[in-house]
Amino acid sequence: MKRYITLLLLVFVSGMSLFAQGDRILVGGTIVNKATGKPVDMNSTYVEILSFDTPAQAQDCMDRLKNGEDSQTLAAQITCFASTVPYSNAYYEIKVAPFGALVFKVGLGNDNIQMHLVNNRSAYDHPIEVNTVLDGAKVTAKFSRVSAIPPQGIIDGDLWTVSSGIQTPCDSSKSWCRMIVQPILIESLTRDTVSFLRPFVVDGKQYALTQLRRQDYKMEANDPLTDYIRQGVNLERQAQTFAWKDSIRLKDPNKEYTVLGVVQFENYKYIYRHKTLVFSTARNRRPTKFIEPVGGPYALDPDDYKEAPRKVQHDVSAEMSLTFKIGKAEFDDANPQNKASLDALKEDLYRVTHEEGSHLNEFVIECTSSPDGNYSRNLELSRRRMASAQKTIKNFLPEYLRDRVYWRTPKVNVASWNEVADLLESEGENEVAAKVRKVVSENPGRQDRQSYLVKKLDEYRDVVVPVLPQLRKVRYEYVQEVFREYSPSEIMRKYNSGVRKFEPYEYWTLFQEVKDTAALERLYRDANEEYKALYGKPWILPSNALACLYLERGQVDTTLLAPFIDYNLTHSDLSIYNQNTRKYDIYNPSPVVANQLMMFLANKSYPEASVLAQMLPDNDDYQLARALALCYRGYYQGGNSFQDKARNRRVFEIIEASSPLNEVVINLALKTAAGNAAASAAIDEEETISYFEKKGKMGLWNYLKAVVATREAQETLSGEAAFSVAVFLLKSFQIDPVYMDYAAVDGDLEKADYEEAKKMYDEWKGGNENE
Amino acid sequence: MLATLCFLFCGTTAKAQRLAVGTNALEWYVTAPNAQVVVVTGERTTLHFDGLYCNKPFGKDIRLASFSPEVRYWFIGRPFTKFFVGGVAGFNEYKYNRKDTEHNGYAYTAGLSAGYDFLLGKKLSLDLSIGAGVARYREKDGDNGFAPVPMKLGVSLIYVIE
Repeated sequence: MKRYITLLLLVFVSGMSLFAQGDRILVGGTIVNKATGKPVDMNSTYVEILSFDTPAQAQDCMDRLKNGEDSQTLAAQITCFASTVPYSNAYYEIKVAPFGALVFKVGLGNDNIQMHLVNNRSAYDHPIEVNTVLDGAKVTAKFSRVSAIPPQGIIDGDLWTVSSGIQTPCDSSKSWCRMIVQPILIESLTRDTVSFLRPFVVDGKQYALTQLRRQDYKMEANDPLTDYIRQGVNLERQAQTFAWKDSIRLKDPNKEYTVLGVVQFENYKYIYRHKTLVFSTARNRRPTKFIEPVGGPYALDPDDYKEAPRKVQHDVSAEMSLTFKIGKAEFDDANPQNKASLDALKEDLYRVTHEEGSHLNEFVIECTSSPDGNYSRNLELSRRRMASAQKTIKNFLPEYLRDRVYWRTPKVNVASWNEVADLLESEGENEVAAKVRKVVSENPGRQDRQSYLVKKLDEYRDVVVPVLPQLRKVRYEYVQEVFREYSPSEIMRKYNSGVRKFEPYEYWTLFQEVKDTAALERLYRDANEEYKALYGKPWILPSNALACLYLERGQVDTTLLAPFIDYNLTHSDLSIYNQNTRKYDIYNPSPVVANQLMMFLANKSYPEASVLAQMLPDNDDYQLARALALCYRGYYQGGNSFQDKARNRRVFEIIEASSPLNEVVINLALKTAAGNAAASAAIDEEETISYFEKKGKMGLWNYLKAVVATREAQETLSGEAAFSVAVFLLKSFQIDPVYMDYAAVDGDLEKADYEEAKKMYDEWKGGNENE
Repeated sequence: MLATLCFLFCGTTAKAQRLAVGTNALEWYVTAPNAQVVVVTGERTTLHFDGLYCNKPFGKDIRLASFSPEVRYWFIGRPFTKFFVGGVAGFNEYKYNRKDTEHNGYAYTAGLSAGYDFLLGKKLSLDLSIGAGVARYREKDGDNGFAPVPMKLGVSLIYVIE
């Protein structure tokens, strides 16, 4: 009987157990790196998982653990059903009540404990943060490789928030030592140092104390690292963890960066340990690099910048040959050339004085006579002839003008015999010319003597005399002022005739009339140069027009519009009345500010672009430019306040609506399940595909498809999606190999997929070359 | 003269010197008031000046006045921290009776020292030192010669003056 009762009891108990076990569910999952999403390396990370029947029990356990109690002891004391540790591949399984809780204890300490409510779900991947660990020092004093994978940072716009930690083994530090950590930002591909980040220093207790015993030593003056010493913490002869975090403003967020940490331990005498760690790599996830800067360029209204014609002074000089009766101051009427010359001058003066907007300001005559004969008599004769000529010319002008023209003192001179020699040489009479020059050189300053001796030359009558009339001439100069606006057709005529220098108002007309882009570009440049020469400053109208041309063809020049933007003003289109011109001057015109903003975006100068974005009005014309500038800085999601969130949401909507390409990219940039789904839906729409085809960006389309597929594979663990990534990447590389450079550093793609695609591309390329 | 030589030997430069003062507890124990002035002369060197006067300790007919400069070399690279070795010199004037013989004279001493300092705080250290050397003595009754002597035995408190 007793045996049967015992047996029954055993069955009952086992049945109870079986029954009890039937209430538990098996929960499984992977311990993943919080930053990368990949399974952690269990060789360097210790994780213990405890299961509890109720969340309250789990909470009790957590509280006691955080107070320093030992987990094994607690597991025995508290009603904790099971505890386990993950397998080497980071996978774990544990039985737990369907609505119980799991507690994850990371590391040997009690400062990293998290609770997870089961809620009847049988799968749960637990994310943990992984620190960089220093290996213990070996006898050879050579360091072994860092075992933990450093966490990735997050790039929002151009701000990279990166964090890491250093764990020092228990024998690496002592109280009389100092640890110096210098983080360095480098470009991953080129290994170029970009900048040195703020270092931190941890002193051992004794080290800190004995500093002050040194001769002539003051901390602030003698220790350059004083400002970087962490207060309240000392190096100790035990394993320690030092956290590090920094926010880095990246000049070009499209590049891949790495933060290295140079860690150095030194005692009083020497550096005994020096190691370089990788704190963080930015294999960045930044789809916004593909955002298309649609919109613009923005043109100024030419009518707002019309230039008024200004007075222009023309200096005209010409010669005419007039003959006079021998020995007299009267014109030789028998010479028809005289009449022709005078008629031409009369016509010229008539034009000058009767043309619209034209004035004759000055007139001067210069009379020259030949050197034959007595010098003084020749000079006097020239004077009389000049007076006669001037009188004749004055009579060409209406009476009311004669007194309004400035008649400069006429010039009278007698040509020298050397000038005669020049004429003889020009006619090939070199021998005679030499004789004449000899006479002049032998009798310097004695014109009469020279005349006498030249006359005695045998060739005088036949050779010298015929050239003398060429030296008898009247030369005149006048200054004309023109104040008239030429008509567009006149200006175009002038332009087509090959003239390349114009007045500002003429350039203004040419900007509207000339249609050829290359010619326009030349005009814009020339106009700017002319304007600068005239007024000492550049001209906003052609500068902005040139900027528009540059933006259209993707050329960057941020210096072009810089002179027209005043950063002391907070808004654009500031209109201020100018008393002198009686016009309103516009400061920081919105089109100019917007174009400069687009230039900065093209130049990846995002902080500068965001400054200009704040100047622009928030209206339909410029909302896209503003949104682009804010988007590149990461202001398209989230926000600290209600206003920030609303603004960021609006930026997102504007960018999304701006083009099919931007719709896909901005949704990917959200990095949320909803964003991924929206991007996935958008990228397969016919309108989107035809947009990419029209723009010749199918390479990018395939690339973005690969990103979408990667996200899908990560979310759903779909093998098909994972497989398609490499295929899309390959197609992208085949269309445009530039995407290989993007894929190499893109955190949105698995490195394995990139390498697979690259391998396939190399094979395809090799096959093509062989053919 | 010895002090002058020590200064010259140390080759100090004209800087604001780090100073410390101290006293040997063991010497106080034997009722010998004493004081020590220390000058930090380098990253690893210090110059010590010890002065001691002892008269009829415990009622015994003994009188000792001593002045000894010492140069120390600190291995760790910080003054008043951990191990050191040093060279000690001294001038002593003494009077004592031994085996019914009065010894009254003076002695020049030179020798070596070594020790260890414990860090007690930002400015306080506990100094343990020991030293031995040779004395050249000359007494009033004409007796003179050389003799090995203990130069130092100390448990001192050192206070660093900023």
